[in-house]
Amino acid sequence: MRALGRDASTANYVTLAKEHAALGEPANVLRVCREGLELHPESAELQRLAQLARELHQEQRLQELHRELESAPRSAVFRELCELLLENGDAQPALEAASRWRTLTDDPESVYYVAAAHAEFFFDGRRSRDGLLAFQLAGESAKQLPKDKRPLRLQFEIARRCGAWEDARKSLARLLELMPGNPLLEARFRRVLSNCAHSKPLPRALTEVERSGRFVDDEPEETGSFDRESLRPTLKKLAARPEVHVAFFLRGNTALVQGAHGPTADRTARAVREVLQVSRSSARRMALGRAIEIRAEGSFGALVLKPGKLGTAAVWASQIPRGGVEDLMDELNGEISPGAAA
Amino acid sequence: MMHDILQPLTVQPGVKQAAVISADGVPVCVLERSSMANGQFVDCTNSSQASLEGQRIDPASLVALAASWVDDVMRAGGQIAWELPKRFVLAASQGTLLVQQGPNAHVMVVIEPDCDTGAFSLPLEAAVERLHRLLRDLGRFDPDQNAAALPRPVPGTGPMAAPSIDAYAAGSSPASVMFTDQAPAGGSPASGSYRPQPGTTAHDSSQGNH
Repeated sequence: MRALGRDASTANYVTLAKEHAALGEPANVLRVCREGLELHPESAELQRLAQLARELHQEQRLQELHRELESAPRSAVFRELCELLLENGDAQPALEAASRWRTLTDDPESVYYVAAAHAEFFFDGRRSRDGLLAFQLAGESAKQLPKDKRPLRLQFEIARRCGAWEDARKSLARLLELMPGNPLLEARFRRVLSNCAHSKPLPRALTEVERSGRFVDDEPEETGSFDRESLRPTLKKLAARPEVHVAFFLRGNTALVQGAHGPTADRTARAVREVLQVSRSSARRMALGRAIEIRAEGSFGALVLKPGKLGTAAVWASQIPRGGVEDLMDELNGEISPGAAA
Repeated sequence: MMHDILQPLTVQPGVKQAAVISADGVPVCVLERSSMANGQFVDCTNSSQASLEGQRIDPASLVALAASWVDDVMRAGGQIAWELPKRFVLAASQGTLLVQQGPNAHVMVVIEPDCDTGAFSLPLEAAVERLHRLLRDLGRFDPDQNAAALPRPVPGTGPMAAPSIDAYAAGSSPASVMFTDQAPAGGSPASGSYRPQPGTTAHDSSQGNH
């Protein structure tokens, strides 16, 4: 503390923050980090500690809220718990808490949180049933809480992302009734209105999202265009690993295959694409969310697919790939930056 | 009896659901962790709706979809190697499905996302072995029948041989494959719907600068 008084350097802020962390005081760690970041906003270490402290603080708060719910369950505690869980992206615990809240108190606000949790599932996993349920529950909640903007915002977001413009327009119109003259909403309303000509009914729009796995504002992947030259070295490195028989990169309607030629390359690429498509759609339908890794293992070895930001990296290997191979696959599909796998 | 097969799986950390399902997707025994029962596993084999708190899919649908996924992956995987896969992992953002193929039935678990799937290899194999033993004791396991029940590769798309050693030559270029169809999303594309684009050679020799 005294050292920090003499010299307000990053190192001294980090030392003080760590001292508070050792005492189990995440709130103080966060306070020190915030103060330090005002003077040294570029400090990666202070940013890391602040993030860690925030997470620890939230964990503590979550524990407190759970304890409070055990002793005296009430709407205010449920509300904060659901907010925190949804903020952290923990949709399943949020759904459980909101469902319990709904059962115990029948508070109309609980319906909104059940809807919000289902909406999170839909945005992540793109399962149409989640989307439809979230939209219907948000509608129910909007009826029960006519002055509340949140259910209408939720309905608008679901409808907008799947291209059900007519439903999006209705939600926005009701929001505008609650916030007349809001320039942002008015601008949005005009944009949505211009899209209404090619609006789809909500159930169909949701089904299309589930089938394609894409929202209307997602970048199109169908072109399959990508810089082959930049991928070639990584793909070669991957195929050169002793356990890898064939390495693949798939994006849209194009596949690069290293380690197999001619009809064999065609056949294996087609098989890998089939596995990818059925797995993606099955993960959505089974309410598991977005597919991250697919493996089929047997005495032949393992077929491993890793969908990522840029495309899907896949290998047919003699054993389950570990370490280096996994890193190269993550580099190929854009999950880690180039060179990080070296 | 089926509970005994699944019980060692349910004690593993992170397991949300464990089930024995027939190869055609009929639930034989489904155990599900319930927050209402203080995290204990409850038997949901005959539950046809999502009755548990916060549950988003009913057990019967889940196991049917899992069996269908395994079937699809085996069919597609059959075009890659002679042997068919025995274990299947589908890791996703909200959970991971693991399926181990057994005699005319599968053992499956759904675990929390980010759980180590490697820790389940042995327990799943052991569960299948217990299932195997149970069926043998009951006199219901016929190895020939089991083999016959396995899906076969799609006719006309025989499995490939292991790649020749020259395929690994460090200097070879990646083959470029263009899928000219847009397969029906959400289902498995028909095996005949794929056409190599005319003029596109599978092995892109124009880039042979290596």
